Order: sequence, then structure tokens, then C-alpha cells
Amino acid sequence: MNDFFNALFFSPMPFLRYAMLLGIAGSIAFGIVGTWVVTRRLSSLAGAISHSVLGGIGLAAYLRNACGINWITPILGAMAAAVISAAIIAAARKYSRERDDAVINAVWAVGMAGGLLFLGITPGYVDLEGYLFGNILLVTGSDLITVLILDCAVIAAAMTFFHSIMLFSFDPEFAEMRGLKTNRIYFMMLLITALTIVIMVNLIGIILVIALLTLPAAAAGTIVRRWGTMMAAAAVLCMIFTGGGLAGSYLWNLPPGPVIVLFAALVYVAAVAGKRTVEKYLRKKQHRIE
Amino acid sequence: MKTDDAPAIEVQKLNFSYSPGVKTLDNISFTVNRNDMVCIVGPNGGGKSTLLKLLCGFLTPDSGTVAILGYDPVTARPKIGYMPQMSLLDPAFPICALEVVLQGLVRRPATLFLPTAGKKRAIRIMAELGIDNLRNARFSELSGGQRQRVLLARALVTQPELLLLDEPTAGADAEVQRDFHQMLHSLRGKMTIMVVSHHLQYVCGCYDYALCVNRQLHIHQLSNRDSFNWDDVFDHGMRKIEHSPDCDCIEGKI
Repeated sequence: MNDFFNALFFSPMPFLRYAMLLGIAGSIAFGIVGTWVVTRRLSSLAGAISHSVLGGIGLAAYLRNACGINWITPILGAMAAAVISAAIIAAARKYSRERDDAVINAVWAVGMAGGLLFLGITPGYVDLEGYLFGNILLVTGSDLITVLILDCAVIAAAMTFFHSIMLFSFDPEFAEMRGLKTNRIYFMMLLITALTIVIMVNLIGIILVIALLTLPAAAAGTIVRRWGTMMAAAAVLCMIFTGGGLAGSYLWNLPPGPVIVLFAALVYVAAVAGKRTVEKYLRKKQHRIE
Repeated sequence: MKTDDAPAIEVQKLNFSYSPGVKTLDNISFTVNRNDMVCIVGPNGGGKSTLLKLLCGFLTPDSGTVAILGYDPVTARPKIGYMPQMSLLDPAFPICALEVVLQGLVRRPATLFLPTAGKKRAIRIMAELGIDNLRNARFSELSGGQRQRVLLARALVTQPELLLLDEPTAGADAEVQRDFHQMLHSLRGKMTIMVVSHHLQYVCGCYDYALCVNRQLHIHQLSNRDSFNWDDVFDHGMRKIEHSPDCDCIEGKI
């Protein structure tokens, strides 16, 4: 363990330090957006948006390499794809409530197919893996600043619209009765989720993004009583997962992404199982008293 | 129209269909006066929920008009205290009872803090409904009857002129139903109350009349309890709905 802390704090090579700082900074956005995703049941939607991003990346690569339009960067393409996907899914909710799961899966497949098609016809080599799977150990100082800006945006939105988002997530009909513009709230939630996904996918990859959006929030949801506390608890858990995962990967010389995901999943399962056991015990005890 | 004197609900020649040719609601007209206490009954698929959605402005009529307190339904929404069916809410949502009640204070534009006066009102209403000791309890861990009270408190915190309750006692046992109706009874005269009931033939004695919806609408007076001792079955005063022969509800025909 000492080796790990030496590498973290005293090594002249900053990569572990940056990875740890990114984990801490990213956890704030993941904790808040993850709570929205888990309580509003947007996980499949987050999956669709994160995969549709490939379509934007593919198109951007094609326009750059084949058509010579150099101002279109992959992140720009990814951003555009995410926003368009979010708009399509929000429109699906508004106009065909029952069919929005089909639309979500269609966006998922079409995005990936489009991406693979464009990458296929793009001349030269395109590093697909880097975009899709990222590497938390390769982040730079400017990446950290991007994530901090993202945090500020997410915190501002979450605080300003705290009550509206909570009400909409819990009971959309009642939100509508209170005069809230639920379609706008929904689109805003999707937009911020999409933004978080695009920025984080680029740095740490799809799998880690989906894991950190859902597992910390889901684990936090089993223990907390309040929605606001769930955000804070999810952020703290996310920090523990990334920190613990990084330490584990350093000590046992394993790739960090999978270690973080598996560590998070283990804690989630333990939290659910622990909660059930405690509830069972309490029920038995109450039964005995009666 | 002077909206202060307008009836609580005025529906005129309302037609609605989800798909062309199949009328869900056919030429419905009725008026509910202020401070009336009425229930909507009818068979499943008869159009109870559709009527409620039209009254809330979630659906638009094909023809005819709906006026709530003299306004169109969407404009009138802030004056409506609405209680949805409990089964539509996510049981795993991490939220405590007080937070649910405070949702009645949420409005546009979004604010960081809810009004202090409203919070005091919420706590007072919870005390009146006997649930102030549950303030910090997780909503999902409350019993059915307690959740009902929390949702009713949330509807009351909005200071409604019209209370719309969608099957508030579905799945509740007789005792819970009785307590709930006692609570509703204590609100009589303070606001107009409309309750969608899942019972078809017998409703609590506290209602003035029943609107029976089965594609068309019939207004039924409520008879007094007959010779059968309903208290033995329901544990509280019930009244029989006098369905007219042309509304076809009893046989379940739609």
C-alpha cells in the first residue's frame, strides 16, 4: 500500500495523481447525474446516448480525413450526436409515451451502426479503441479543468432545479399539475446527462461511464432516505470506487477500468444483500415482540 | 364569466376518443357546484380515468368544453389539489414523507428554497392528518394507509379549491378506508371534492351524489342504507348507488 501512496503523492510522474484527481472531480458529476439516471430510470437511455456518440465520432473522422473539414473535431461530433440523441428520445417521450423504449434502443443501434459505417469508409487508421474505451491513466491537466467546468454546470443545474427535478422524477403527473414544464425538465436532464457522458467517455471509456453513472447511485439508494442525500452519498461512493479501484489496479498490476467496475459492483451487491438481511432481522425481531 | 361564482366543474357536450370511431366518452354534460362532494364510479374501461385526465387538461376533448372553476383545465391546475393512484409511484424512490408533502409547494419558476410559510403549513397539515411523527420516515417504508395520508397532505398543501383524488382507497382494508373517508368528511365545505372510486355499487355515505361513467354519464342519487347491515361488511356507513337501467354498469357491459 505504501508503494501506492508513494506513487500517488511523491512520484515525478503525474499520471496516477491525475487519474485520482479525475476520479474525485468526476465523482461529483457522476453522483448527481447518476442519481437522476437511477431514480428516473434512465439507465438504458444513458446507454443509448453513450453508444450513439460513436456515430458522431465516426462522422467527424470521415469529414476530417475524407473531406478535409478540419474544424470538426471528434469531441464536437460526439457532442452533436449526444444532443441529437437526447432530443430524439425526449421527443419520443412527448409524442409516443408507450414506445420510447423502442426509440431508445433504435438510437443505440443506429448510432453505433452509423459510426462503424463512417469509420469504415474513412481513409487511414482511426483509433477507435481510444475513443470507446479511454484510459483513466492517460488524462492530462486540461482534461481535469474540463471536468471541473462540467462539475460547475451540473451543480448549478442540480441546485437551481432541485425541487422540480425531484418532483418530476417522483411523480411527473403531479409535476405537471403544479405547472412545471415537464418536457423541458426532461430534456434538460437528458442534455446534462449527455454532456457528462460525452466528456467522460472521451476520458475513461463507455464501460466505466455506464458503471459509474449507475452503480454508486444504486448502492447509495439502498441506504439513504432522501433524494438529496443520495446525490452526496453517490458522489462519495464513486470517489471510493475510483480511488480503491486505482489502488487495487496499481498493487496487483491490473488494468484500472475493470478493477473499478468490479469493485463498484461488489459493493452494490453487498449493500443490497446487507439491506435485505437487516430488514429480515428487524422483521423477525418485531414479530417476536408482538 | 365571473370566475368567483363559476361552478367547480362544468362539462358541456364533451366527446373524446383515443382512436377514430371508438368513442370513449360520448356527449357528456354535468356540473359540480362548489363545495360539493362527489364520486365518480363506473366499470373498468368505462372512461373514469379518461374523464379525470380531461378535467386535469392532460387530454384535449374532440369536441365540447371543460371549465374548472371558470377556467380552462390547464390554467386552473394551480387551484387543483391532485392525488394520483398510489400504484403509479416508484416504491423504491429515496424520499421521506415530509419531502413528499413539500412537493405541493413546488412551482414555476424554480427556486432553490421553498417558501417558509408553506413549510409551516405542510407541517400543520401533517399534524392534522396525524402523520407528523412520520416526517422523516422513508416513503417506501410507510403502510398503505400512511402513504395515502401523505399524498392527501401533499394535495392539501397546494391550498386547492378543487380536490381530485384518483382511487385513493384502492387496495386498502375497511379500517383504512373508513379513516380516509372520515378525513375527507372533515374537509367538507372547505373545498370541492371529487373522488374516483373503484367500487361500483357501494360508496361511502359522505358523498352527495355519484357520477357513473360508462361511455356516457349518468348522475345517480345515493340511497340510504337498506335493511341489510352494511356495517357488518364494510365496518362503516356505506350507501348504495341507484344505477338506472340504461347505464348498463351492473352487468359490466361497456
